[in-house]
Amino acid sequence: MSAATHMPQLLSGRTAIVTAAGAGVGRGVAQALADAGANVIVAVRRVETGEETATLIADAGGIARVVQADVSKRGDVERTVAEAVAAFGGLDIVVNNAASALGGKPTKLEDITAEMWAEQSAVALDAPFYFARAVYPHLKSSNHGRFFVMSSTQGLHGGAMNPAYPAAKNGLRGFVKALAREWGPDGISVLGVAPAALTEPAQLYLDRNAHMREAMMKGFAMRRLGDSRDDIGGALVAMCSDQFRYVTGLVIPVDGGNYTLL
Amino acid sequence: MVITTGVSLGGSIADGLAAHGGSVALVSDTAKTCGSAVHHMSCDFTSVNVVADSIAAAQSKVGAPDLFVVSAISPAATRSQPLISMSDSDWNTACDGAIYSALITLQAISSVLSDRSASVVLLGPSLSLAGCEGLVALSTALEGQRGLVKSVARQWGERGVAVNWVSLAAEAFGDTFADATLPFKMDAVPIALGRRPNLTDELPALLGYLASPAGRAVTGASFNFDGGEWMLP
Repeated sequence: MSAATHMPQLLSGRTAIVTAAGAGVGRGVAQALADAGANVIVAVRRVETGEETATLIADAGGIARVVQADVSKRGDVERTVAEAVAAFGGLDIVVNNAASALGGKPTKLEDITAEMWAEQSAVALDAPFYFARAVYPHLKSSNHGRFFVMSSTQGLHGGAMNPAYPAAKNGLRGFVKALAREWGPDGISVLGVAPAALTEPAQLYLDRNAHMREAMMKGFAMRRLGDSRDDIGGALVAMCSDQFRYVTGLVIPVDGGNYTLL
Repeated sequence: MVITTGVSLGGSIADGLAAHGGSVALVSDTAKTCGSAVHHMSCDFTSVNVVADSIAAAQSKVGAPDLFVVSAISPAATRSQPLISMSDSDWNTACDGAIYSALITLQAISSVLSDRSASVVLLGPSLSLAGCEGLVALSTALEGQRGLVKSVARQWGERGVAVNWVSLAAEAFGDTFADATLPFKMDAVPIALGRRPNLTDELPALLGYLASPAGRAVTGASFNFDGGEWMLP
């Protein structure tokens, strides 16, 4: 149980879908939402990773259900939404967290192939589109509708590592701004989150580049990467609360003060 | 060199640059919209090689360009409609396809540039900066292209190639976005200059600056060329 997110009444009775919740930020967000009382659909490609997350949630007293889904496929997205509604009677929160692993692979613009772009855009851009279409009536009737996409500060400042990644992540910024205007009259908040989390790959990178750690951390006002559950998940819990209902159309860096140029 | 696919102002931009003394080619997948001073080259934007061949052919007519102006906007992205009504194929064309067209155009430019420096400007309507209901795919595509611009600016900086973004007011695109419901601004002065910039005189001047030695010190930037309607935070 996390002290930071243990607020079991805050989101009690609400239902959330978190994609790619089998590890990293997705798992942390799923745990945090469950800590705050939400019923969580753990949507994963590999069931075993989802079951690990569901077990962690159950051990902490939360409620979770695993759905196997490849969110780049419309049918899988629609089935995930249907299973959430059938299991819990409605849907209030969607967290589009899935991303292609290719985004983290250093690649020159000239080396990006059609297949690489297709894979990255299918997960980063098409999946939120499929979810938006599938969940709209449920979020509209929720009175607490929240639709999140996980963006990145690389989209904001243009990370040089792989141009397809900032393109997809900043594309989500446009998606958020426009969809927020479209769904605002229905009381649905559409938000982006640009997280900086100490995921396993980030920890591995820091371990392999220990000599750079201090310099890297100086880029963060808080001198650390965020905890997926307490820091990133905690921020999403706050954004799901009624206190945050008048905020929409933004991509919010949850990054300990790394990207401050807005 | 002006390179456009789908909806754009390619012809008028090319004419404006030619009127300012430039040797200009227009590579596009639309019917010829430019005047006789501009060399027009058709291109179907199906692959990097196709675009590169078209750019190389245009280059043989007008010489190696100092400036590339690129626009990639799918007509499917301009029809105002709720996102939940959009078909899969329209989404793919309007969003993924438009970003990919910009991406392969930049790849093609890279292939003809070799080690030569140049200025590259991607251009689109400012609708995506504020977000516009009914145009989610367009907003996603344009902001995706703006993210691409910043990233490529970082990758190409050492080569002396500057890459920037210019936003124009939606009205600059004629009736293309006539159905769009633009966000209302509670400002006493909705456009700071009280007028729209002149696309045939003032836009070529901005593009000329970005292509100049001084302008090439600017890269990865976004310019709102709208008379001060929208101001980036």
